[in-house]
Amino acid sequence: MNPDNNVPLRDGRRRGEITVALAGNANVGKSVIFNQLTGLNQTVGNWPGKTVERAEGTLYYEGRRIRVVDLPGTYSLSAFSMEELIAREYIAEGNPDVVVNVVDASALERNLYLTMQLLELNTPLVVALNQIDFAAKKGVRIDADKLSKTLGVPVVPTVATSGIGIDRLLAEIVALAEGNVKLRPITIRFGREVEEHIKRLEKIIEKALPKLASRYPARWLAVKLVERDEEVQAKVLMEEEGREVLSMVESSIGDIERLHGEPAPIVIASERYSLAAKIADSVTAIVHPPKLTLEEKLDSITTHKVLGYLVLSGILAAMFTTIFMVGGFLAELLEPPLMGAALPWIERISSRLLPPLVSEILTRGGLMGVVAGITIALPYIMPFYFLLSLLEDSGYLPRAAFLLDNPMHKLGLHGKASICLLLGFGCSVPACLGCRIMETQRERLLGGFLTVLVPCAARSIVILSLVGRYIGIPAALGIYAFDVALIFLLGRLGYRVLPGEPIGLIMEVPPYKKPSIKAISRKTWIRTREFIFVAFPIIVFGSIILEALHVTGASLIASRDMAPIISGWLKLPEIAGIPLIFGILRKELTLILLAEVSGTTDFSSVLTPTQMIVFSLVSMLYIPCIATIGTLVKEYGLRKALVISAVDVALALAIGGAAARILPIFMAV
Amino acid sequence: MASGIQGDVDELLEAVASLPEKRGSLKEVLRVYPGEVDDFQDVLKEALALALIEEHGGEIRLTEKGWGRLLAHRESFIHEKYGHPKGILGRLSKLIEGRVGDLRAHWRERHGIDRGGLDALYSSLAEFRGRIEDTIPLSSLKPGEDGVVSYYLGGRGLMRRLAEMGLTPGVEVRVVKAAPLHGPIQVSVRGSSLALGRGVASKIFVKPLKQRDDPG
Repeated sequence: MNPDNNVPLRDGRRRGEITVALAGNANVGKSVIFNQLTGLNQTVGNWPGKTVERAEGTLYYEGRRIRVVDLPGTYSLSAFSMEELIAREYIAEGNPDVVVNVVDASALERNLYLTMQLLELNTPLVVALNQIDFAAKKGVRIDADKLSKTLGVPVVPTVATSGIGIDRLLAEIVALAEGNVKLRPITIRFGREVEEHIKRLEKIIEKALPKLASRYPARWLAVKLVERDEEVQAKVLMEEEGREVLSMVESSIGDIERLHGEPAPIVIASERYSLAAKIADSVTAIVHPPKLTLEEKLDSITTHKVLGYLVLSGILAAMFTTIFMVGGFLAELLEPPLMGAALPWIERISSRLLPPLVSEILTRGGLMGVVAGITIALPYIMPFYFLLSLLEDSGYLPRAAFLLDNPMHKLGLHGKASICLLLGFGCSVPACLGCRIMETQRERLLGGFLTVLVPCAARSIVILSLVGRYIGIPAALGIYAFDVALIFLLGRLGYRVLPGEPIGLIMEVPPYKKPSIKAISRKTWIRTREFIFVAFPIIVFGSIILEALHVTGASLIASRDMAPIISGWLKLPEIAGIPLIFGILRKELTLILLAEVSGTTDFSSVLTPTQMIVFSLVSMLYIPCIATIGTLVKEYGLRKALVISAVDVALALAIGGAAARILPIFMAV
Repeated sequence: MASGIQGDVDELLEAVASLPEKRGSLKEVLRVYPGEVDDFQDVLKEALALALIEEHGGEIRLTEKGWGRLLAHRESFIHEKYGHPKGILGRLSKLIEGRVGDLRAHWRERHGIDRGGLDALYSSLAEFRGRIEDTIPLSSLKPGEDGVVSYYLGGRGLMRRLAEMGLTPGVEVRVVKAAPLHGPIQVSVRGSSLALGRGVASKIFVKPLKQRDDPG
C-alpha cells in the first residue's frame, strides 16, 4: 500500500493496491504459489524487450486489491543472466510493497543464499517455506518460528500444491504492507576482514554518491561493488565522484583477494553460503532417514544409461503421436464446419455491407487465417502445452537434458534443446514455443532459429510426396540427412556468432514431484490464451494480405517479377512462384497449388527430378509458415522474427540455386 | 620417489609447501622408505644447491626461486589434468601443440579462459596449501565418491555461477551419477542436486575424500 497518496503512482499501480513480488529459485513451487494466489486472474507475457516470461495477476483479499508479480526464478541476484537482472531491478526499483521469497524447505541451505541477498537489499520480506511435505519425506523438519526469529522476517510454512498455508501467507503480506508488522531483518555480516572493507565503503558511498545511496541501500552497493558487479559499476560511473569510489573499491578488492587467495566475488559468495549453512543447520532437525523410494526408483530408471534413453524416446514418441492424434482429430473436426458452413454464410453477410473486392479479401483472407490458426496451430498447441507443462512440473525435463547434453553441446545448446528440435519434426509452432525451457536468452534464440529449420509434418508431406514418390525414398531421406547436417552446421556457426558467454551445463536436478492436473490445466489454458492474443492477429493479418495479392492479381505480377529468381536462379518452371508465395500460409499449400497451377497431379510431367529436389529443398528452408512467424514474433519480437525469416529465405535461395547446378551432374549419370 | 631427479625435486618442493598443513616430517610427507633415504638426501642437497629451499631456524622452507618453480610445476600439472578433448582430434591437437611454453597464453587462446579467471587461478595456485597432486578434476571422480572443491580453471563468469550454485571452495561434493556418452555428471552439494556438463566438471578441481565406509 502506498503510504503517501499524493505521490504519483508508477507502473500503472492503483491507489490502495498492494503489490507483491514473488522471488525464489527455480523449481521451488513459486509458480504454484502464484497460481494459488491469483487463480485464472492472470496475464502471461514477456518482460519488455526480453524473452523472459512475465506473469502477473490480481486477487482480492478482505476488500483489498493485491497485485502479484511472479519474478523469474533465480538462484542469485547478480547481474549475470537476464532473469537475475529483471528480478533485481524489479525488487530494487519497482517498489513492491512486499516481496515473498519462496524457499524450498527440502534444500534450505541453497535457497537461503537468495534470501541473504534479498535481506541485503532491505526488501520488505516474507518467507514462504514451501514443500515442507517433501522435506518431511526427506526426513527433515524445519523450525519455522526459529527461522523467522533468526532472519527477523515472517516465515510461513506452505504446501503450495494443496494450498496449505496460503491464507496465512496472505495475512502476513497484508499485515506487512499495512505496517502492522515491524521487521527486524538481520544484517548479513561477512567475515571480519571483509566486513571492515564493506563498512568503510558503505560510508564512502553514502558521502560521495548520495543520489545513488538514496535509491539503493549503501551497504548493498558496497557489497555489489566488491563483487565486481558490472551493472552497479556502470551506475556508479554515471555519478560525479564515481571514478574515485571505484578506485577505492579496487584497493579494497585487492586487500580481500590477497588475504583470501580467491577472487572477491567468490569470497563474498562463500561467506554468504557459510552464513546460509549456519542458519539452515540451526533450524533443521533430521527426524528419520529419507523415504523416497518411488522418486528414487523413477530417477534411477529415467537417467539409466539404457533404460533412460528408452524412456526418453518413449516419452517423445508418445508426445508426438498424442499431439498429432489429438491435433489431427481436432483439425478434421473443425475444418469442415469452418470452411464449409461458416465461410459462405459470412461471405453473404459481408458482401452486403462491403464493396465486393474488399469483402472478398477480408472474408476469404481473414477466415482462411482464422482457419489456419485454429486448425493448424490450436489443436496442436493445446495438447502440446499440456504435455510440456506435465514434463516441466514433474521434474522430467532436467533428466532429459542430462541424457542429451553431450550431443546437443556440439550445437552450442544444452540437452533441453533436443526436446524442441525433435518436436520440430511435428510442428514448428510448439517446438518454437518450447524453446523457452532453456535458460538463457542466447540459447532460446539459437534454439528457435534451429527448430524452424527442422522439417515439420507439412514440409514432410511435400518432401515425401514429391521426392519420395517420384524419385525414391532414399532421395527423400537424403534431403532429411542434408537438413540435419545443415542444422548442425548452422548451430555451430550461431554458437560462434551469437554474443554472450556460452557457459556449460550447470543445472539443478530437482526431485520428482507428483504434478497437479489442476495446475497443469491452468497453465495450459493461460499459455494457449496468450498464444491466441499474440500470434492469431499476425496469422489473420498475413492471410488477408496474401488473399489481397491473390484477388488483385498482384501475385501474378509478383510471380512474373520473381521469374529471374524462380526460373533463372532456381531453374524451376515459372509457375512454381505462386505456390511458393502461398506456401507461406501453410507449407503443404506449395504442393496443392503446384498441382493447381500446373493442372495435373502427376508432378513428373511438369518437373524434372532435379527440379523436384530443388522445389522440396526450397519449401523446406524458405520463410517459415505464417503461424511460425507469428510465434517467432511472440517469442523473440518482430525484429528478430524478421531476421530469422530473412536468413531462411537467403538460405533457401543459396542452397536451392546451388542444388540446381550441382545435382544435374549426378542425376545425369 | 619415482622418475628422475627433476621430478623428484618438484615433488620435494610440493612436500615442503604442504608442511605447514600436515603434521609430520618431510620424510613422512614424502613417504620415504628406509631404502630410499640416500636418494632423498641427494634430492634435498640438489634443491639446496639450486637455492630452491633454505633452512631457517631448523625448518625447511621454500625460497622465492623455489616458489617460482613450484608455481610452474603446478601450472603444468593442471594443464596435464585439464580436460583436453579426447579422441583422435584431441590427441592430434596435443601432438601439434607439443610442449606448451606460455600456459597463460595457451589457456587464454586455446581454452578461452578470460583474464579474470586466469588471475583467480594463479592466485589460488599461489595460495594453495597442500600437494597439488592431491587434487583431481571433479569429472574424474566416480559415482559415489566425495571431494572438496579446491580451485577452478575457468572464466570469471563460470566461476561465479559455480560459486552461486553452492560450489564454493572448501565445500564437500559427492558425485551421484554420470550420464553415458561422456555426458554430464550429477553431483550433490549443499543438499541439492546439480547436473554439470563434462566440460564444466573438468574445470573444477577437488581434493578427493576417502570413502566414508572405507575402513582405512
